[in-house]
Formats: sequence, structure tokens, C-alpha cells
Amino acid sequence: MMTLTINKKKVRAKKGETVLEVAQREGIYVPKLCYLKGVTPYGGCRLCLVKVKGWEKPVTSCTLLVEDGMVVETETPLLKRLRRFSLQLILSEHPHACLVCEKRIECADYQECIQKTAITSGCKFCARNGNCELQELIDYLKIEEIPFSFKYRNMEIEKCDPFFERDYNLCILCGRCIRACQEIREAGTLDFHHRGPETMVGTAYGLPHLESGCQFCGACVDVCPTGALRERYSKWEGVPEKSVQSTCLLCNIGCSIDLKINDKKLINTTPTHEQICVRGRFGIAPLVYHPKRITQPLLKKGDRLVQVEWKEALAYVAETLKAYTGKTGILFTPQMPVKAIDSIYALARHLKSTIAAPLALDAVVRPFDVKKFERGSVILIVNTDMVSDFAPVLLHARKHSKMQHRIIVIDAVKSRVAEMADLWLQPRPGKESDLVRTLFAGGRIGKSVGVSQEDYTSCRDAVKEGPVYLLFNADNMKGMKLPKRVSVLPLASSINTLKILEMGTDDSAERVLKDKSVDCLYTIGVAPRLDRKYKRLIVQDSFPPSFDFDLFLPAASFVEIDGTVVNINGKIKRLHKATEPLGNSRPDLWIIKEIGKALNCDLTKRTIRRKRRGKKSQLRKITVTKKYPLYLIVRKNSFVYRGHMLSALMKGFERLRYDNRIWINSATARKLKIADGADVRVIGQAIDLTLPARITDHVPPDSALIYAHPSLAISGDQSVRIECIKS
Amino acid sequence: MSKIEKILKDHHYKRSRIIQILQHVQAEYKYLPKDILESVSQKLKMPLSTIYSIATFYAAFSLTPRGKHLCTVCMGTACHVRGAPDVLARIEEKLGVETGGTTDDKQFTLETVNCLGACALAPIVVIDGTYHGQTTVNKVGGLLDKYHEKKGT
Repeated sequence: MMTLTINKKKVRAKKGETVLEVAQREGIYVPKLCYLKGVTPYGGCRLCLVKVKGWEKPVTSCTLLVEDGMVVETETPLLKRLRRFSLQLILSEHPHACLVCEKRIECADYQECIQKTAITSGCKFCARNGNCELQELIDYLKIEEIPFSFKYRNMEIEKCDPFFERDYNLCILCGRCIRACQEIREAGTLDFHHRGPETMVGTAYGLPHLESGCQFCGACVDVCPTGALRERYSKWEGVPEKSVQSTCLLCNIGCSIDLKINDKKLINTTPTHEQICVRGRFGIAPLVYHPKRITQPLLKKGDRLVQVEWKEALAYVAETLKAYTGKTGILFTPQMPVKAIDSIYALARHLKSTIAAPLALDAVVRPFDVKKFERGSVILIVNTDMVSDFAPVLLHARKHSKMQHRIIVIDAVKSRVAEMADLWLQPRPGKESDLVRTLFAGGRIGKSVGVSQEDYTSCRDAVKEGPVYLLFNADNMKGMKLPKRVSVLPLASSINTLKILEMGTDDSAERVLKDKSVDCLYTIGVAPRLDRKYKRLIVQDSFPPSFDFDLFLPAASFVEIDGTVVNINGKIKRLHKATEPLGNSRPDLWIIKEIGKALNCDLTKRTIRRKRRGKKSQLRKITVTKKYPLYLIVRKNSFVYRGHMLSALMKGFERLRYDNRIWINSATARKLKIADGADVRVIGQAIDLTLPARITDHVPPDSALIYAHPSLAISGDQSVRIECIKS
Repeated sequence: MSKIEKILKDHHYKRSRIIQILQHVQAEYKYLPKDILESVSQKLKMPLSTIYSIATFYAAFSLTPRGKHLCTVCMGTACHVRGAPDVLARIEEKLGVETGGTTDDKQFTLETVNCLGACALAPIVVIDGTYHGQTTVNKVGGLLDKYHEKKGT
């Protein structure tokens, strides 16, 4: 511990802290622009200058380490003059027309109509007006004029990428986005390039972010002090009035997010204290206000769908469910509060219906805290692209290089996590489970697996003892036996997975869909492919399904409800209501309770949990034949909201992920004469699909990859043939 | 072993030696080809943006193919007062390229430098590392021809 004096106040500090950090902790305001908590100080903006007694010249406090007995002044006339000078220099390259305009006060009334101009020449034309760190500093330093000539860089606004756009004419080169990208996210998409007056922030070769390995996590947008980086969706939504902490339901990690509200409308979502991914950052608000969202109950009358009141809709449900008691099948999404799931089970019991949540999880699960990996452990990632899909978990694993975690990837497909891993074993498709089994059981590895003996041995030595965390894709790990020290989690599953497993019901949607006795199907946030006709179809969702239905009950989204969910760690996370449900939509729990009331069924009674002791299914062996010469790798898609692929709902996700296409190896595609983007027909023993192709080298030769989705009715790898469709 | 593997091995795959690695790459290929930088990035597990940042920061690195001969004209203060702009203009005219450009036959790349520190020899033209001091507008033609001749032999 050390003692130093800041502005005549004695304060204590730890070795290694900077003067700026100590001053901030003590509530002493020091202006700053390039400082960002948790990353290497840069000392570029020169606004945090302080005077140290005995030192001739002022120094930047963000780079100044504390020393015992230091006497620091943060407010002297000289410092003020220097800060003003620095900020004026910064502003000489930042559009500041409004700042020096004599009409700026009256102008405030008209800003709405002049905002959306092509070029941002001043604050009133900027999306960040009123929420800008430069404006705050201008007020603080009382700058009213810029004595230097203004230089507009005249660079084209980069609008080519989804989710956010970049106007580097507004950039002040504080380098926060770069350090957030490199140090916090370890993505390294951004850096300074060129030198001197030409210095600018950007990607390598100025490529679009989509081609530069950007994860679109939005960390850069969140730290930008100006309007240079701005989110597309909420650009003109103004400054948020309030923020509500809630949980993201778009994958099973359940990250805490802040819901930003303005004028009773959700404008965007930002991370609370930890990093989040593209789903939580850019996916939620557009989902809630999606033009395809249905917010009125719809009832089929004759051939037409008619908007009805809730009373009529609920009466119809009650009547139908009563009539089809014992003949009803219920499919529900785990992406809703725990209480709603409990009520659905109770309702199903009352109706004697078959029920399932489409988890299709048939493997051993030994939960662990994905935020705390034990020191020196091995993180074994099987068939999951952690970088694209679960970057926040990967960041936890990599946060402390001292912890000496080893990251080993087993994947037939070249994923981004494979590229960065300490070791990447690339077995032939379908041989992953053989490899993992041999790894823990011991013995030599067969040639058919396609992994070199050398790589296999070094991997086996790494997992020989000590804690191992296995993060896997459940589809490839059926019936696997693993030693006790291996903690196992399927990352590519839904939130509340542990809850559903605890309920112990059969989780195969197929069972409900293939049940011949089911005449009435009630789907809650699930949009499966239907192969047969039902007498009654009731849909409770936010978006319309691909099939015809008799009744649509509009469900509220997860930002419009209160409740709790269980995340992958088994932790209970809270949902807080941020806005009223849109239109006439209602929370799932409310709808189910109302149905319960109409049926005179007590939904509060907890269902008896029964552990199902079914036969453990074994992994099917896939053999390619002459008729079906290609190995089709089927991966779980973790970019799904209530049975709808995010790519199908939002174009940005489609451009980022191409998960609605079939990925074909480039050599194979050449052989079959398939062009990128062309529609192809995929024919297997049980499937016949038509989808666009994506030609890539990430998939091994003679194979293709597809993201599983309920509407495709495809699960598990299979052998197929691909035919080019000629138009 | 490919050229790039050898260069990286010589530098023990150390990220801290990225500048030397890039210098070696440039010596080998005369410039920094994009695909080579991509493989350096992959093998060193270093972001391509960082390598691009370094490559654009130093004037010594070039991201576009250079000619066989590199002709550098000093534009420092001493060279400037002793007629460097005229010398440069003459070279530009003779080669038919602007500063920073490469001739169509890929023989010459013309660049300028701000000071070489050899002001006594002003104005200086450096071709392929050889210093030609006290150049004049009249001397330029013969000087460049010498290098053209070398190509013939």
C-alpha cells in the first residue's frame, strides 16, 4: 500500500495502479478520452494531464504509475489550458459546425428533421448527439471556438457490413475500439493503419468486416466515444431514458444484458458487465419489433384467418383441447421462463397429452461453471465453433494466460476455434466420437479415423490426468462413456436445457410428431416440419410457422416479461420486463394459465418428476455408398429463437453465417459443377431438400455441412447425394 | 520447406520479430504479397490487421509489386535547394511514371525519401542501394540507361 496526495487529499493506492485509476476511485474527476478500463493505456488524447510536484512538465495520468508520497494536482490553470488546446486540436479534425454555430440553441427544436443527412457535419446531424463524450468534454472545458482550420477527411461511410456502420470522418483516433477488439475480445479485426496525418482505424487491406474475421460482438461500437461507430438499428432512436437488466435467451449461456429503453420502446441491448455476442448485442431489438411478428390472435374461419379477441381465442383453445383430451401432442420451446415450462407440463398431464421440447439431447451431461475453468485444465472442444457461436465462454477460458489452459479442438470442419487452438485434431467426418472414446479409454487409434499418431498421442497425454472440460455437440456423442474427472456440457443447446433434463421427459420432438394417436398439435414456440395432417393445429408463437394453422396465439418476447430461467451452469437468471408486450401479445405463462382456468385445471400443482430409463441410443454408423456418395455433416444451429432461425428473420445474420445454405467442399463442388449460391437438391435416404450452396474449404473433401433446424426435419449425420438444379 | 516457412523458422516463429520477418519477406519477393502476409498471420497466430498496420506504417515496406530496380530520390532540405525537384521531374518524365509508381515493363519503381543524411552529396539519387551524388537533370538520363543496359546483358 502506498499513500499519495491528489488535490491535497491523502489517498491510498496499490502498487501498479495508475494515478488516473486512483483518482477515479476517489471520485476526483479527470477528463479523458482514450482511457478504457481494463486495457493497456494509450496516452493519446492528452486530456488526462496532471501536475506532479517536483516534475517539470505535466504527465498523462493514465500512463503514470503511482509512487509513494507522490503529490498530484489535477486542476491548475496550465493543465486547463493544455487540455483545451488538445481538445481543440482533436476537434479540428472532427466535424464541429454546430459547436460554433450561433443558432445552435434554437436549432434544437428542428433537429429531428435535419438529422438524417448524408454527411455528418455537426452534432445535430450525428446519431450520437446528446450521448457523446466529446460534447461532455466541450462543456467541461468550456470550448466555444476552434482556432484551427477544419479538416474534413472526406472518407466514404462504410455501410457494407451488417449491424453497424462506420464513419471514420468522425473518428478521433483514440484507439479504444482497437484495444477492445484486440485485448478484450482477442479478435484482432481492427488496428491503426498508415502513419502521420493519414493514420486511420480499419481492417487489414480495408476489407469489409465480414471478410476480416469480425464476430460482430459490438465491443468496438460500445466503447466508441463519438458517432464514428454506430449501430444501424438504433441509430436514430435517441438517447436511452432508462436501462433494465435482464438475461439474453438466444443461447444457453444466458448472458446478462442491459435493455435500453427510450419512449417505452426497446432501442438496443448492451452487455451489463461481461462480454456478449452478436445475438445479444444486435439480435434482440430487431427481433422484438420484427415486421413479421404477429401480435394479434388469429383464428381460421372458413378459409380465412381472422383477427379475434383473446376471449374468443381462449374459448376456442379450451374447447379444442377438451375435445382432444388424450389425443393432443404438445411441443414447446425451452426458451421461456421456468414457470411457464412447469405450467405446460401440468397442462399436458391434465390433458393426458404427449409432450416434448425439441432438445434432442441424448448424451451424458456433467455441468460446470463455464466462467471458472480450473487451473491447468484441458478444454476439449468437439464439433463446436466456439469463436462464432460461444465467444463469451471462450474468452473466460482465455482470460488468464497464467491459468495455463490448453485448448484442444476435435473437429472435421475447419472452424475459427480450430485455427486458434493449441492443438487441432481433424478426424474424418463421423469419426469424432471414436476419437474421443479412444482418447479416454486408451489404446491405439485406427487409421480410418484419419488423425496422425503423433497428434493423437500429444492430445492423449494432455487429457491423461487432471480436469478436462468437454464442450461438445450432442448429436455426435450419443451413448458415450467418460471418466468422472471429465466435465461435460453441450453448448449447442437451448437455455433451460438443465431444467428440461431434470424434468426427465422424453425430449425427442420426433416422438410427438410420429405419434399416430395425436390428432391435435399444440406448438409453443416451435416450428417443426409436419409430415402429416392434423385435425387441429394450435400455434403459440411470435412469428408465423411455415404450415397452416387453425389458431395463432401471439406470445410476448422475453424482454416483455418477468421470470426466471436456468442457464447452462445451472444458475438461475432473472428476466425483467422492459416494455409492455407489443400489440395484443401476451406472455406464454399468462396464456397457459388462462387455458388452465378455462379447463378447470390446477396448473400450480408441480408435476411428479420421473427419470426416464429409456434405452440409450447409439450413434448410427454412416456409410457412404455409390448412390449416396457424400457425407453430410449435420450441426446444431445455436442461432435460433423459438424455432425460427435468426438468419431467416434478419438479413444480417444470414450474411454473417450462411447457416441457411449447404456448405460444400470446393473440390467436390467443382466436380459436381455447383456454383456458389446456386440452388442444389440434397437427397438422402430420409431427406429431400432444396437449398442454396455455399462453396467453402472449411468442409473436408467429399462432404457437405448443414445446420440442423426443426423446419428441415433433419437430425444426425447422413450420407446423401447432391444434384445441381438447372434453371 | 516453402520460402515463408524458412523465413519464419529463421526467426523462431517469434511474434516480436515481425518487422525482421517482413523485411525478409520483402527481400525475397520485392514487396509484401497479400497471401504471404495471410500465411504469416496464420502461422504466428497474429492478427492480419496488426501485420497490415506495421506494413503500412513503415515507408520501407511496399504492399504493391515493385520493379526490378528501386530508384529513390532524396527530397530533404539540402537536396531540395540544390535542385532535387527538377531531378525528380526529369526521372518521372524519363520513366513515364509518377512518384510511387512502377514502370509498365516492371523495370523501375520510383520513390522519394525525406532525407538520407548525406547532404554533402546533394542532390542524391539512390538506385538499388548505390548512391549517386550531385546528380543533375542532364546526368539522369545516362544514369537510368546504365541500369536499362544491365537488363540487356
